[in-house]
Amino acid sequence: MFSIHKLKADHSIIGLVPALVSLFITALIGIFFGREAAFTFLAMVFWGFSVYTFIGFWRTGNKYFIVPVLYLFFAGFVIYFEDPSFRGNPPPAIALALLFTVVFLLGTIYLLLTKKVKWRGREILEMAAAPIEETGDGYTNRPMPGGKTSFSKQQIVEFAEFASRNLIAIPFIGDNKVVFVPLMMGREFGYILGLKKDYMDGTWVSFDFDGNVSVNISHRDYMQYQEALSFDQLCISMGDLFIDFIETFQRGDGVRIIDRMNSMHVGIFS
Amino acid sequence: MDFKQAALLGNYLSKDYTKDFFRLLVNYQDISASEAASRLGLHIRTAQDFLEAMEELGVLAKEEVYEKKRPYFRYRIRTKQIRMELDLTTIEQAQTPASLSRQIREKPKAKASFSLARGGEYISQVSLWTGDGRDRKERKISLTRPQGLFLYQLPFPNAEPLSIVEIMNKANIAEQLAPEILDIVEVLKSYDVLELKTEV
Repeated sequence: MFSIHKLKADHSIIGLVPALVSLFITALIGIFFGREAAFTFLAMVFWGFSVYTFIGFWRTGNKYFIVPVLYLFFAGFVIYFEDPSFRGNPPPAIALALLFTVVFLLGTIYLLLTKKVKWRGREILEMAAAPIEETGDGYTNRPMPGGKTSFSKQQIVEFAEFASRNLIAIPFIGDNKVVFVPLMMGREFGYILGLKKDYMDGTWVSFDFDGNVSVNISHRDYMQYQEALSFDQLCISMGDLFIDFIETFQRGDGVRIIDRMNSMHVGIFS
Repeated sequence: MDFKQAALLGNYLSKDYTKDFFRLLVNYQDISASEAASRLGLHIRTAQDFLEAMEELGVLAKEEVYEKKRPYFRYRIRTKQIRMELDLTTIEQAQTPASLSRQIREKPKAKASFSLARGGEYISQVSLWTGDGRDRKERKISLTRPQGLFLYQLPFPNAEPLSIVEIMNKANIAEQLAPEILDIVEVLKSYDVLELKTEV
């Protein structure tokens, strides 16, 4: 299926920055402190990313994160015990770790290609913009009241768990409402590490338990669109999208939501 | 008494010497500025200003006298009761059906930023900018809860405008709170943040 993208092309490399910085530091350590120190540092980096990915699994409930967690753990193990003398005849433990590394690496690549570990913020913004033809800007940093729904608290909370598991949005569950914050790839670090607890300046959709829906689209995300789409229509569309998501999920068709997002043909790293 | 007169009276009532000054005035038949200044240990200019201000407010009467030298004024008390009465209804926000039926919405590219309250249910503060570059000035206005609820429901710049009363109804704001809503509407209009239907 062909889909017209309304967002600008994503050339951001922010998601690769931690890996590139780690490699750069590893190279510097190798130059100044020798090969063993560099490999020790690199192993620590892999284990650090493994812990970070495990926190992602713990916070979101996305079970697919376990595969990259294990890949990063075993890769770190192999790097840490890397020794030229093992070449051609590695000890059984290292050989087993190497086998696991390759298996879990292939698993991780599969999950990346099938978008099972992809944050879906970009798909959400594309889907919200899809029905909007009118342009006219009109941006404001106020949230838009998006009408009323009759969802129960349980229905909203159940969808929040689904959205979290499938990386559709980070849910903030409060006493009287649930706020869904869709995240693009590369913007999840602060939320995963618990450093960013305030969603106010981001894009979010809020469902309170009295049925009121509010939508906020951040200026940063609005600027991602190629055209200045009619802002009030975009907010209404975003609210309608999440209402439709909850209705679809309540019918037991949650997988259709994922299918619709996959059909937007957004790149795996954007 | 209007606000200007009240401010003048309040200013002089707050001085340390005022009670002693009035003690002289109620006990003396009349007194000149130099006599009062020497008696109270004040600069003659201070005494002169006080007496002139009280005369302007109608508390004192003054009479020009000649005693073989250049003329000067003697002051005597006119009333032994000073009442400060301000009519606040004169500055109450006018609330007519026409003022509430004006249709409004946010103006495109308004120089304003809205901050949400912690719970996210209403706007808690609005920042307004004037000028550009180095001359840019920011003014922050903390909103009452009804004002915050009202601005939460304000139509977006390219949405259909709504009347003030319709927005109040959407925000569940009681009609008796209209004056404070009209006040913030006037402030935002003066900063070019809102547009009225006639301008739309």
